Amino acid sequence: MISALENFDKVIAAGILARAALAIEDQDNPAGALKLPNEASLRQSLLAEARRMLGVLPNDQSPQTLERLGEILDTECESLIGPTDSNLALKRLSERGELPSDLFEIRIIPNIEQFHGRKYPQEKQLIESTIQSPDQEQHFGSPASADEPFLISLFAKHIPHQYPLRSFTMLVAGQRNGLVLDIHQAWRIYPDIVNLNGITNLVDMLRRFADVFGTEIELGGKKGHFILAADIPKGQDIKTTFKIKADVDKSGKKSGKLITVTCFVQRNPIGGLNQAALATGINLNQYAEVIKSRGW
Amino acid sequence: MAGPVLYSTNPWYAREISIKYRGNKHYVWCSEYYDPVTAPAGSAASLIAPSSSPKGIFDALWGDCEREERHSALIKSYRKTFRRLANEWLTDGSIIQEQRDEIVATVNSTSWLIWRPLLYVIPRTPIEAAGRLISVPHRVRAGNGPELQITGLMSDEFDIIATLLR
Repeated sequence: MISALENFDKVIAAGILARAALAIEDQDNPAGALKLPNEASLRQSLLAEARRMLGVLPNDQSPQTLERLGEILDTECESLIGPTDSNLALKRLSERGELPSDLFEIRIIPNIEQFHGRKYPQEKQLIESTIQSPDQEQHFGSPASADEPFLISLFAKHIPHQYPLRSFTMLVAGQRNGLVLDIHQAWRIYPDIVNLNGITNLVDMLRRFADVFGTEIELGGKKGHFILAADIPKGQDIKTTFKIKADVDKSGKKSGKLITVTCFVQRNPIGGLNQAALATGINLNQYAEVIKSRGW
Repeated sequence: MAGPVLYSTNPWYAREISIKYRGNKHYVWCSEYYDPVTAPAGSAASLIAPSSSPKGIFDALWGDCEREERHSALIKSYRKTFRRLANEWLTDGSIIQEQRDEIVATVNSTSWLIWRPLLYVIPRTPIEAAGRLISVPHRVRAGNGPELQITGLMSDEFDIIATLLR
């Protein structure tokens, strides 16, 4: 430790060092103002000692010298405060839905790759770009109520094209597991097909998309094209819990539509039941037809 | 030209810190001139250093984020300042260790999103009338042109203009 601070408590010494470092950089920063009765002389002493450690003259005010002085103070300060567990801190932010989205490790479920086939690399790039620099984002934090999803994030990004009909909004939904984001849904939303007027958030956007491309599903006693959150009865498998309204033509034959049912399954600590969130049953034939017609 | 508003460019994370950890109070350096380069030669505005120009800072920060410039001097300087502030706030008891660690971990991370620039547009009259507009002394200005500071600026006292990254 710098000898001028030897007689101080660690926390107080760290504060003196942090304020001195702030004042070197911006003398008028209120955070760098002197707080202790003898801090001015103390600051002079520790700067003098730091200068001696660097081997620079007392009147050397060059930016390079000031920067190096600041680095010495920072190192001393942080050694008093102790090491930072960055991984743990970032995981906490992720849990609260506050982690900058470009820090996630992105994992995309295989169904998305299977659907896009040879066009998958382009779609993957769009998904990653949407997460890493979204226009809008919405996060559900830790479980707060039994009726809401948790640890789920949605991202949207406008993808412009020189031909307006090919411009769309990429909507991506994923589940946060620490620093990993598992992507379960990624849809292109064309504004002439999905009416986005008046939506207030990205869940609304997904709901509107499901209203156009979805088929009715029933889950945990709830019915609709889109179910925000529903409990799965104890002992039941999610695959057997879903009911999909079968589309039949006038002669009673099934339509042959390829429906993908997508949802996030989570164990809700509130109530202890498994919960399915953001559940949709999307008609992939209809969706594929649209994106193929728009230069996919 | 100087007018009824003040401009201040800050990285997105500065706003985030102020909102999350500082009770919505922002400390800003600001200018009456958005782009001093366009000011008439010899005017006070023309003497503002590029490093204090709201447009200059905005362009530099946006460019560094867009190009993912790992050696950005501006980002390096913000990173250092935020770490120091977090340490100081921890020692004065205004944040706890977990919050300090979250700030330090975030600024030390590889995120570019946190550094994207935001332009604060601040109505001048109410701030000035309340005597809260501080003229920065010449000795700490980057150039000879006027530079201003506001401490304790609340989130509802300004508007924000942001540009989306790629």
